[in-house]
Amino acid sequence: MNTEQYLKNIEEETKKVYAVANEARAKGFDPATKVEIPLARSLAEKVVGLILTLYPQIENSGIVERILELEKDHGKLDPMVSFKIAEEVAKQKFCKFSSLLEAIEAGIRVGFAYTTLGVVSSPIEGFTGLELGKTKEGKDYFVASFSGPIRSAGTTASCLALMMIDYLREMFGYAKYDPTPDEVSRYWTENQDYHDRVTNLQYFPTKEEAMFLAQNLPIQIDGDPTEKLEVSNYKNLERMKTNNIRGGMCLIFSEGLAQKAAKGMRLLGKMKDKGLQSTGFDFLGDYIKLHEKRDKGKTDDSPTYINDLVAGRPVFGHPSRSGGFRFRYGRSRSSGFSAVSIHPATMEMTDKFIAIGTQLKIEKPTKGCIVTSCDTVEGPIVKMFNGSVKRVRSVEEANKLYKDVEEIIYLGDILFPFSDVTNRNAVLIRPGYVEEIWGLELREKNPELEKGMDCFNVCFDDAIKISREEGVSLYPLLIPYWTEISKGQFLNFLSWIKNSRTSGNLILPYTRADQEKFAEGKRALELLGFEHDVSIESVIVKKDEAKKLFVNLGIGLDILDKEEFLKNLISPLEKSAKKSFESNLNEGESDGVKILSIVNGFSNFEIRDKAGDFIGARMGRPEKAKLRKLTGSPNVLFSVGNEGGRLRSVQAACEIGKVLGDFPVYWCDFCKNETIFPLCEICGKQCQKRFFCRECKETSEKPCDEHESSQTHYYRSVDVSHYFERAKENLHFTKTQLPLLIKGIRGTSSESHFVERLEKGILRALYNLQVNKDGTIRFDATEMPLVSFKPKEAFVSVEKLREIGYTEDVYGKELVDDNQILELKPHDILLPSSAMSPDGGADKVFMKVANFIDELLVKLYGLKPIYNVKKREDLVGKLGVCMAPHNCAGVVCRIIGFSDTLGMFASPYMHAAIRRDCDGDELAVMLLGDVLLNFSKSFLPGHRGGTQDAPLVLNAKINAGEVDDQILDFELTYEYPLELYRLADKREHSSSVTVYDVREALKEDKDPFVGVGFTHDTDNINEGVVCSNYKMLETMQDKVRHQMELVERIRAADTSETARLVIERHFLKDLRGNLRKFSMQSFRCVGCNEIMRRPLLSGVCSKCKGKIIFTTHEGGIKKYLEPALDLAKKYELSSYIQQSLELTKRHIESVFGRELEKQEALEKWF
Amino acid sequence: MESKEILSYCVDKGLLIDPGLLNLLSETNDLESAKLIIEGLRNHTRQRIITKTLFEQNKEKMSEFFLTLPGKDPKNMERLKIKLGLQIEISKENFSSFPLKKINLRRGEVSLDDDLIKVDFSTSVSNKKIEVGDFVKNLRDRFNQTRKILQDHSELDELVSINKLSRGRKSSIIGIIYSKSVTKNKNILMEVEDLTGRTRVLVNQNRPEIYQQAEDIALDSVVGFSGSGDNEIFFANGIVFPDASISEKKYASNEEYALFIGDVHYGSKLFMGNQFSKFIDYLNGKTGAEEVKKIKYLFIVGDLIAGVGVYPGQNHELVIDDLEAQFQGFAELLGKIRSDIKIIISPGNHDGVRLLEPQPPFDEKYAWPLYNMKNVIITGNPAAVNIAASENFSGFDLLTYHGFSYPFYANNTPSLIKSGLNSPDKIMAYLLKNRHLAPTYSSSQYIPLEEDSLVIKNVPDIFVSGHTHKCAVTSYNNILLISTSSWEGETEFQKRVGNKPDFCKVPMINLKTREIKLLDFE
Repeated sequence: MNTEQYLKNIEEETKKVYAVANEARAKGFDPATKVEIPLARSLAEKVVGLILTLYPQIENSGIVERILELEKDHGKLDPMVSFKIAEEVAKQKFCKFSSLLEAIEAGIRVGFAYTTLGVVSSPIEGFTGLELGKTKEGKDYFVASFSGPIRSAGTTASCLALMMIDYLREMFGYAKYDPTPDEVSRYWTENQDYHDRVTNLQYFPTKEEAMFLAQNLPIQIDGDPTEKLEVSNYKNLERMKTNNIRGGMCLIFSEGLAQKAAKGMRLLGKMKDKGLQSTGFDFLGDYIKLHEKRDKGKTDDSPTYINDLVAGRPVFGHPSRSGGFRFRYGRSRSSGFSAVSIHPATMEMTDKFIAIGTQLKIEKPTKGCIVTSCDTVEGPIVKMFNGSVKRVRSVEEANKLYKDVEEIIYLGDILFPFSDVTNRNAVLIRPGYVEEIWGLELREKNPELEKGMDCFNVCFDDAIKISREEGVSLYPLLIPYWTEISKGQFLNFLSWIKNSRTSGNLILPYTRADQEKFAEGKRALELLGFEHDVSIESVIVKKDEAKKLFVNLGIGLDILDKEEFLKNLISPLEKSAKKSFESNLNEGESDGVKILSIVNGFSNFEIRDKAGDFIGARMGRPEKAKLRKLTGSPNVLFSVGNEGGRLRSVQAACEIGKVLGDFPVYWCDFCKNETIFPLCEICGKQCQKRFFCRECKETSEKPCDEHESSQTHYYRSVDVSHYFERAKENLHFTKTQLPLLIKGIRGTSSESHFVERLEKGILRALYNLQVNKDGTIRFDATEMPLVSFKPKEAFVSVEKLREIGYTEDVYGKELVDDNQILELKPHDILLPSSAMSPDGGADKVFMKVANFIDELLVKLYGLKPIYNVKKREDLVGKLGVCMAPHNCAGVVCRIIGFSDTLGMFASPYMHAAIRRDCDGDELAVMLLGDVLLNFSKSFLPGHRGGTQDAPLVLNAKINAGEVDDQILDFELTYEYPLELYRLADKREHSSSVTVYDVREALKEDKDPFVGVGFTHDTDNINEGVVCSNYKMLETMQDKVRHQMELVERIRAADTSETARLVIERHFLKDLRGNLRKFSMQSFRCVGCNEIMRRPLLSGVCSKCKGKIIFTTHEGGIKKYLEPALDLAKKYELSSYIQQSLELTKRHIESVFGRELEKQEALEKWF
Repeated sequence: MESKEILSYCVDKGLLIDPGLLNLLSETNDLESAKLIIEGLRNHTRQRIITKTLFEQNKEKMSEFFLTLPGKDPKNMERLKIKLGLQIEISKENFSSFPLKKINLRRGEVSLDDDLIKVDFSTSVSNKKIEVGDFVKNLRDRFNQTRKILQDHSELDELVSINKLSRGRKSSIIGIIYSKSVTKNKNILMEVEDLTGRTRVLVNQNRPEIYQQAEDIALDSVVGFSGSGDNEIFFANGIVFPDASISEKKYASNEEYALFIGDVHYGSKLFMGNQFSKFIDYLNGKTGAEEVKKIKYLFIVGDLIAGVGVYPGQNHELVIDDLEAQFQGFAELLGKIRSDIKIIISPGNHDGVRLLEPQPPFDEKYAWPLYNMKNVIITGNPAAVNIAASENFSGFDLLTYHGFSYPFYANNTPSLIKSGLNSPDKIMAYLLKNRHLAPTYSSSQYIPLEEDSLVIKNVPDIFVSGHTHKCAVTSYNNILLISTSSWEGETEFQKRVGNKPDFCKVPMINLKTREIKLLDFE
């Protein structure tokens, strides 16, 4: 099936579900009688769909058509489109607004929505409005307010938004903002406060930068107070409304403007070239000079990934330390877009801390990524407690070995997509010498020979033959890590071999005396990465390994089969090696480089550096796949107030008989009955909306004439058992069929206070499903990319796949076998179906959701079922909706299979469509029918940020040109050019390499969804650790113990540094914080959960006179004390740390008394 | 200094040095001396492996050798000696003039020479599990103590308990504030409780004379209200704070001076050592000032040292990163002060004492050098101290409190926000008015003892605090308020929050005339 047809199919199927949902909703059980989510096919439609939530008049006003026109003139995603459309909306060309200011505000929102692709709620909630301020001369200037949700816009977009606002200011002739010195200082102080006391800013400007920016701002940046904290200085300024920290202002000021000034300036410059008039930000030129000055002075001595260390999450390597992850360019079938691949055995060898989907924080070239598996890269090399060294090739082997491993000498490869390197604008990192480079070099010499072979799988004899005949370097798998040993080790190693003999294998002497004498040589053997076994008095290097060593040293292989001593063969080598070192040629070269060149002198072949750059890393957040549950895990959005009891149970409320709460008010004329639903629950007829006047305290048919305080809901006692009984009758449920516990919510926080029909709750509870705040059921999972898959990996039959359009494999062959590789289509996803998921996997959840929807359609709406799912495979082909956190647009997705992981595999285009990369974020999947039927804006919280995470628009067609521009760098290829490796050796900038990518494809007007490719295949993408040990270990103590045990094993990780950071960043902070909290704590009532900030004189609950208890306990404070002390002692941390801990201990003792009972046994810890 | 340099020196000389000794040497920041020490040890022992143990085995020889070192930084050398296990000799030398017998400095009367100094503070060692009931008891004690004070106020007539309130009758209540809010109509509404019940107290915005007072009421303070109402709502006509005043100023019979300092922060990179030496020289009469001889008391109200681990990353701001060494160094400084001056010291938040108030005196484990000084009296925080008493004079009552709770009031009390921490005297007066050092729950960390020792039970003649690094001397209702300046340079933090610290200012009071002089050593 071609892409066009596929996309059309998706759209048609989507419309079918819309039709059913519209039919159901027309019956009136829901807050609105039609589906509330507009379907958008283009970016323009998405933009309008989003903004019309605020200004209904813009619907069908011609904005969509105008945007399409502008796109033709300026190109898609061009900022010019957003500036122009903003201007035209502000000039009220399409529709009228209540005031000029509102028109400008609307214009900004439309333009801003365009730059953010219409998928985030920043334009409606991040930018919260425009006001006028007065300059000293009494002129009007713009005050633009921002709030927390500005964060999801992204930094560049928010920088552009400021420029857009200023552009409109200038256009409409408003004055520039004229900040007073106090106001300037306030900007700086507030940003600093936010950074230090609230949360780290991505970019924190220097004082000079911040002051300069603030002095020159053409508009005042303001915002709601987002924190309870007040700024530390410059309070009570006349033109600043609040003394509290304004998070939105800080975000856009530091992360948007200060960080992205250069990029914003460049984009603005381009627009100005096209004739745009804007001068307010001209000062940025000088700012950028300041900014660059700062960049130069930056020292990179303690990378953030290490400093942000979290207790229980291990370090896999300190920066660039030998033995960490070896950098390798490539993109497997399940990596790219900020996902990297490592060998499944490496995952297992990290004590299972790294699972598929686990986030890594890395040293370079990016900050974070998630991990997937790929078995064609190198796995770990480990040393056992008995001294033997092994290369670990499989998960099973790693699992068996881990407990006997003394040291992880090399962690193995980290396969890094070139697209990510170039996207971050990074300098190329030098990879080790690997098979794919060898293959490309061979192709240069002999393309015919290369064509016929698999360069990842070349046997020893062939490799030697090819190198000899074609003059290519020695095959990478035959090379050890020459550059990773020292001069002393090398010489001792040679002298050790000199004393060895052959006998089929290479046998090195290892008696007590030898062990001392050749300690360095033994270490060299380990660091070189040769597999060997330690037996009683000798070290045995098996024939296959010994052959590699001999080829490197230029010794004939035939001697191996004989019984001979190597003295005569090695002596000359040793002498020449010593001589080379003494000759002092190439002064300044490292030991490693010298050794490599010496070995090159010995060998008949060119020996390249196997090591390359090592990348430091630590564990970030673990992977995730689970059903989203609100606090209290409600089944239904129906208030049960305090009457629902601790469990918020509908039945408990029924027993009491009433619920006190805010409910909508309707009137059934037929039954003469006041109700809470738009449809009478007794007779099923339409009800009339009623109005309640807060002053008169009465309801009436019309809003109150006298007062202006009429609302469509009011606080009252509602007969919950009545509604529950009716719901039961509607569903024809007997008492025994009812689920035992149906959980509601404490109260509604939406403006309308709409509640769901209880029927929905009963059915959800029946299927054990929990509802989200907007009425949908969501499954959250880590985002993982997938470009192609095998039927066996997706656990779907070939027949079923053919049915849904997968008829050919990537090579154009007909699909017949479940080992063939298929290219994943852009809307398609694999559900995370590992049984390790706390809810039993997404497959089980979605089967339940499908059945719930069917039953709901039949029993409540009186329609036909649409899903009919009986077994798991029935889900294949069904549509869902994908959403990223903080987004407000969903993208239609299609379930085509299942993965045995805890992450959502989807096309990179899908991730880009929801504006996320795969660096550890999670997305939510919902069933399309559920979204269309049960979602309502009326359920959304009324407060700021309420529309975040709600599917306000739906995108049914992914357009590669209308998604996050990170996708433009995504490579479409099966291999990287040799040029990449050559330039990487010289550490050139990534921009000097050209790889065919999406940008190119779009330029050439090619279908970017086809021929995406991959450079490293793998047998099975599900192979590897499924669930991170971090999640399996229950207590923090356990996590830290395992963390430290692992870090001790990893050669590249510094154990005492890790221990220090764990104590400083985690334990000490925790201990002190908790002790502090103890004396300032609030108290909780056992009976009604009321929280009191201090106890009352009466000593009982202020509400119900119940018993009150602590919210911070003594036990919670002491929890980490002993672990921290042990850790500090064991790793001999600095006396400063030890004393800090000791003091904390003494403080705790002075408050709680000395612990008299026996401490936890030490060995339980370390 | 980089330990690398020492290492490379050793490599050059073909020596091996153990990490312990290497660390100690590199801490001196004195490469030349380090080299000499290594060289000396090597020459003396003829060993190639230089270890700390080796050093210790040859201690005698080495301490002789130490005397020959040029040492550009004597202080660091001193520390090195201490760390290398020569500390016993050192401390003997420094404290030889004092008996090594520890003076028991607990509550009660302490007699130094002929003077009697009375000290009172909470010993506050808890050995039982703290329960919710302890918080309640503590709160009730505060209520009872303050109520007694308020009952004496004549403005509170018809005093009744909250459950006895009845509508329409004029009455007064004493209550502790649970919550406070401003209504839509801009009235102030407070939830107030006493031991019998709760009511809401409304202060109408049209009553400017009490509205402003109401704005300043701190949560959890104990306040009296006169007005009318019931246990639903009570309309206030008058607000009465417990308040503190001295009806008649005291004058000592002898001409004696008392001096007040605080926030020395010894051990910090920013410690103003030279200025502090000038101060010591002054005390010892080296500047020739006449009045010096009459100086009899020196109060130090906390933060003598910089401490360790007070905030994350503090080690980068320290010259001495060991608590014991900081106390040692500071004690050495105090030891230079002529011994007839009585030094009364209380802890602050940097001194290695737990932050939960009332704070006990310094931990002897670290502060032993102070405890070894015979002219030093150590108290907890807060503390009541009586000095200069004689047969015909009852002595001056001083209240010392470091001032940890002050930032809270500077940031939250409407009338204090403007001047903030730059006017500590206003905060002190405000707290005197409330008769509590930290009325609002969570404004300082505290330990709920049976008796709330942060209540200002007795009105002092002099109230001294530090913590704000701001010098102030004022009088409030005849009570002398003293806030001490700092001996630590301006920190980044202070710069940012806009606190302008004062440095090296020492208020000196003539107890006979109450004349006050501000000495300046900056």
